[in-house]
Amino acid sequence: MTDKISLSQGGGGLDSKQLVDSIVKILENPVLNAQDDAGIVSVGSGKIAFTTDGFVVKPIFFPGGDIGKLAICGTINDLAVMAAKPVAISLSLIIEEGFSKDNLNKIINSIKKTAGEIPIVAGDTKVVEHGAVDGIFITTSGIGFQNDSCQPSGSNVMPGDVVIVTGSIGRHGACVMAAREELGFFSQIQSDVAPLWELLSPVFKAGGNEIHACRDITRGGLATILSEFASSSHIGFEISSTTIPIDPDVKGLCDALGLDPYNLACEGRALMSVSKKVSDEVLALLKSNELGKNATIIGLATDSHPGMSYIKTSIGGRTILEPPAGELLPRIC
Amino acid sequence: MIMNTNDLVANLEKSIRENVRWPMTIMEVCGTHTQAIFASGIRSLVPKNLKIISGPGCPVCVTSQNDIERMIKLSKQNKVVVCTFGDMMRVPGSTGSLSKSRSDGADIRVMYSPFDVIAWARREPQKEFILIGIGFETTAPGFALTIKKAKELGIKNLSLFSLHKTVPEALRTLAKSPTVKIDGLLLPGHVSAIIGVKPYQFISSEFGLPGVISGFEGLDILIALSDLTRVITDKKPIIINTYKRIVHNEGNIIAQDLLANVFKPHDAIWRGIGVIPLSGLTLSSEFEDMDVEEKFDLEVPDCPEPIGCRCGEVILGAVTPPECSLFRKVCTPSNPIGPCMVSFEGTCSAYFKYHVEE
Repeated sequence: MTDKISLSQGGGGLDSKQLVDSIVKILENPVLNAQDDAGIVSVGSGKIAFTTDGFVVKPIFFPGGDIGKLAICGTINDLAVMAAKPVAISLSLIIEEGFSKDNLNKIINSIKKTAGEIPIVAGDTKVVEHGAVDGIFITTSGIGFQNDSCQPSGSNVMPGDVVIVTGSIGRHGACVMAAREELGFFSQIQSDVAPLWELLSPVFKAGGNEIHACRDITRGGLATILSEFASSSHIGFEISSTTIPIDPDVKGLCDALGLDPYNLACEGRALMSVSKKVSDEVLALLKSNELGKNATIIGLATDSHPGMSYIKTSIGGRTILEPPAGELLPRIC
Repeated sequence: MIMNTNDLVANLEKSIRENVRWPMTIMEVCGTHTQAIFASGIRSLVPKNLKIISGPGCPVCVTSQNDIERMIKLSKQNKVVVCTFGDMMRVPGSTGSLSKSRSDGADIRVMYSPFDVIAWARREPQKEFILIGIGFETTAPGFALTIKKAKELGIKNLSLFSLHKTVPEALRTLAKSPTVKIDGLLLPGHVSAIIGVKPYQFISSEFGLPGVISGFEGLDILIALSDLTRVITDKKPIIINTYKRIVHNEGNIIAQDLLANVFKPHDAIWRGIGVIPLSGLTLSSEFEDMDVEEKFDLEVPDCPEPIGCRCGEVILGAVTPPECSLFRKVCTPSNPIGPCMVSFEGTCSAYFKYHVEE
């Protein structure tokens, strides 16, 4: 490691993990150490999930969404995957001088529409001189109530668990990549950005504590989430590549640019590890929702190679699925 | 009869197993093959006595240390914009990397197509735009077209640092080398799409080595391996094209004409190999005013390769990455010491990513 922060430490891969670990080491406490999407805090007899996230996506408006929708979905999803019903969100805006008022209004209206019945209960604005930020950066925090009967965590994966992805992977990463002017693509790949609470809540209700782990697939993609589960739960995975849903437009972009779809971010998909006895019911419940209609079982958890994920390729070869390392695409969320 | 993929794979596996009657070593010479062989898990499907080694097929990896230093030197000039493909950014030279130059304030831009640079050069006429021309016959036509177009448009502030290399001459050097012991070659599909099949014939006629042109899907590679192991066993050193949906016998004549018009062959330095006569492309006399050497002094002190780094031997297939003492311990994708760890097509990067330790 050098003495300066590099872009590769923001991409969500191995380098990001090292940066996060170095911060957690200083601030350490049992809640933070778990490095889940939200921290669980006991208040009275209840459990509150608390999360925060920053958004710096470029471009600010992209097919299927904008930075405002992304911020709200990201916050809702960090709570939702912890089986916590989102109840309130705060919003902090850092705006570059000269930013269009019209675009700001578009973003705020998008935030309102996406949040729906979840109130934005606190906020802050800062305006900084030209060049100090690129247009607008958003930070949100959210709180949610966690149901006692279901407390998924990345460290709860059990051998024999069935691994389910709630939809096709890589859409958001591919969308932002294609939307960047410098690539000169005329693609209209729509981001999958969407709030996941309505999709996941019935699953948690039905599956209870048989839902062992759930995480939204964001930076670093599917490969990164599998690796996080594997290392936190000291478990391995056997994944079948032919079952992983990837849309043809995303596959095409990946082939053209030499990208690995397993490393690309989603913003409206979750990866779940559930016990075998509820897997059929979970899959059926997911598929009954439009957002989860392409939900698929992609593999199994095993105790035979802890910390490692193996993938069976389309020609039946077996290879290791690793989280990405080095510099990924910066500023996708 | 229409076979499904599983049956087809099973048949190919069986035929490869039957063909490999004694230990065989084959070499692929294309970074995309290196990557695809690992990603599709081919090694887990072929018998252990079929050794697949990677040759000098990753353009970034064969770039010499001096040329990397020249790029860094160029990037430090006033009012100069260095335009490069992304995987060159983090390749370490002796005094840093393009990435480090950029964080120190140099104007270095990652291009996705050399054509982008024409628009940049027109928009900012006060700056000199230098295209870093990296790659084999596959990428060279895009640069040739850019140079030709820039000349037609009368653009004066664009020049090319041509490090383009050509594959057949490198294969000749490999075939001649006493240290490279191979039974056959997996030939690069994309390069062949440009140059066709004929330029490989000397491999079989002069050196008695067979070669098979292959595509890049897992199934393409299995088919090519099945053919290659068969002709090795049969001791029939012929060149076979198994990528006919893309590669025609004559190649792409338009691209060949373009290359012949804009470039001329010259001696090029390959990392790990040294000078290979007439294995590089430099601008032809019609376009030599756009050669970066006409505008800038490219003299740099002779740069040694990093201490302990064995990229040069890895490129020749003489050692595998785990045999290098720096591999995984000091040299990682986050902290690459040699070029083979930087490019995702590099052999060391693939070995690292897929945890291959032999």
